[in-house]
Amino acid sequence: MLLKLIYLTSAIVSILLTIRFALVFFAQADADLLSWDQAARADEVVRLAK
Amino acid sequence: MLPFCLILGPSLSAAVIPSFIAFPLTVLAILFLYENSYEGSAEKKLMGFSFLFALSVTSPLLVSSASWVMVEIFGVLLTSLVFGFYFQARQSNLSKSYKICAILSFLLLTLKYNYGLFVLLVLFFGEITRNLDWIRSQRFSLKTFRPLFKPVLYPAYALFFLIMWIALTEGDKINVFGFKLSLTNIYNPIMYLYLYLLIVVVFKLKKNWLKIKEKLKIGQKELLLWGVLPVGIFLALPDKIKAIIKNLEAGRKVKSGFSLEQVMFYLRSLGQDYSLFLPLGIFVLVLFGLAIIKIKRTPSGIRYLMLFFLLGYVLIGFIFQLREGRFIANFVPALWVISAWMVDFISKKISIKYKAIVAAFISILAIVISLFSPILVHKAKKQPWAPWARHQMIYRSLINPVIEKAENAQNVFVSGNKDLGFGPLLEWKLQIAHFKQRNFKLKLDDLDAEKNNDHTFLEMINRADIEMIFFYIVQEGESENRLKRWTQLLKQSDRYELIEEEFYEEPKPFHLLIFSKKFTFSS
Repeated sequence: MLLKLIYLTSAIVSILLTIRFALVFFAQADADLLSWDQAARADEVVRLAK
Repeated sequence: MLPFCLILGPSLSAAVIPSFIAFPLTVLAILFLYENSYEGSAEKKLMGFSFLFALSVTSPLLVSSASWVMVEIFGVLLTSLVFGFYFQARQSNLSKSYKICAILSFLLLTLKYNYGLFVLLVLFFGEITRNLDWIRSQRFSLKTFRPLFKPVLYPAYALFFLIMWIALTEGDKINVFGFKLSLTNIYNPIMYLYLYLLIVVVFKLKKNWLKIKEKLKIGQKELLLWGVLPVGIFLALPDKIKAIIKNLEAGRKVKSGFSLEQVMFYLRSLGQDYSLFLPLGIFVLVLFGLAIIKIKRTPSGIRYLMLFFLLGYVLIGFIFQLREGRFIANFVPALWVISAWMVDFISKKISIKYKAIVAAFISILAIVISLFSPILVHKAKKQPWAPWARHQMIYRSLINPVIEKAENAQNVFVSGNKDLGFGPLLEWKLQIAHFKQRNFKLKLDDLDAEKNNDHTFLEMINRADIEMIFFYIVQEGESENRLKRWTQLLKQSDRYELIEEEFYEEPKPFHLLIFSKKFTFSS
């Protein structure tokens, strides 16, 4: 019983924490995270096209 | 990951979803490992459980790793599960648990073989201890070594000597009946040696299987057939052995030799990157130290985990020369479980009522911090390998200039007076940016190293035919003098010109100098 309680609490807390982090991640992802890689990729495409 | 990409499109957002799913599973797997690490009721382990729970849901590195788009988090998850099932099997003696453990260890190896090899090593050690009686009953004499002289092994010895010859003399190119044979790298001979030995061992096992089967303990058949055999075949696939050797080489090529700084780096990383508060990280390490002192009273499962952690620490802290906190990730669950056991060991005389109160307090505190405190998000975002950190100033001020300016160069030399920890990242980024387009060579060196004097510097520049040189200086002082001298030497040589000089404020105030080789018709 106690063991189940421990696992259940851990599962709930870690899922909530993951959601919290996912929200932070996706909020930044569009704005900043992808910009550099996309820019780099675009440069690469231009370079190859030349 | 494929289903997510099909739904969301091939984007980074889709790629991180599996890592997000893996995080809660990892937390549960670490608790599962602790549950099975030694016999005892959940009530007795209550304090340890709450401590472990608090560590895993507030660990900045573990939490940020959920968005790494890397496989570290899966490695930690599978490592915890393999050990959890192994300890469960040892306690219950059920062949089913051994089978699960074997399959999981094979999965771990296919996912991250550098993690898998360590886990297999400890499992192998554990199985040897089960067969100690049989090993002791064997009488070792000259006859024992007779199979080693059988003709079937002669080709293996020949390959072994060939490998040694290449390793010691760097090999040679030979001409056999007009065909040019290049014997200059050891990867292929090692792969052939491995394949040959694998075939010999499999045939031997098949031939003597009935005799061997009698001597095996419960579960060892499952471990062999579901774990060792698939792993053996997996490693025989093209380039797998080569990848392992290359991985070890990559860790050794930055600097050579023992350095106390390196050993301390990972201790610091365990305290800082894996714990939200440094005192907590130090406390975990102190508990680990106490568990080593109390080794005589530790259960066997905890001892295996100690062995696992120490093996990893010795390799990474003493031999592996790359510095990144994430490299120790695989061994962190072991460290946490050992410290959780120590917490339980210390508190064993406390009544269950007080234990429950303290455990509840620790758990609630951990829940509040992980779900509501901004500290955790802030610190997790600062982890150097988290995707968001990659786009911070180090990129804009150092990595980007190198990638942009070195566009047409084949050989690039980067040297600075402080290890800013970007070496592996830069190397990786350059490889990605110029993948398969040219044979790019990057040489990183410490500007302040004793071995580097003016003479060796010029010699290196001439020998390696470097086309682009990047210097970065974080603080003024001795390094600045050396840089002035080297700049002078480069100008005097009339082969290099200073193409750019920049000053940056981030990540630390530093000075970046970029030299390019002059284009001449003769070259």
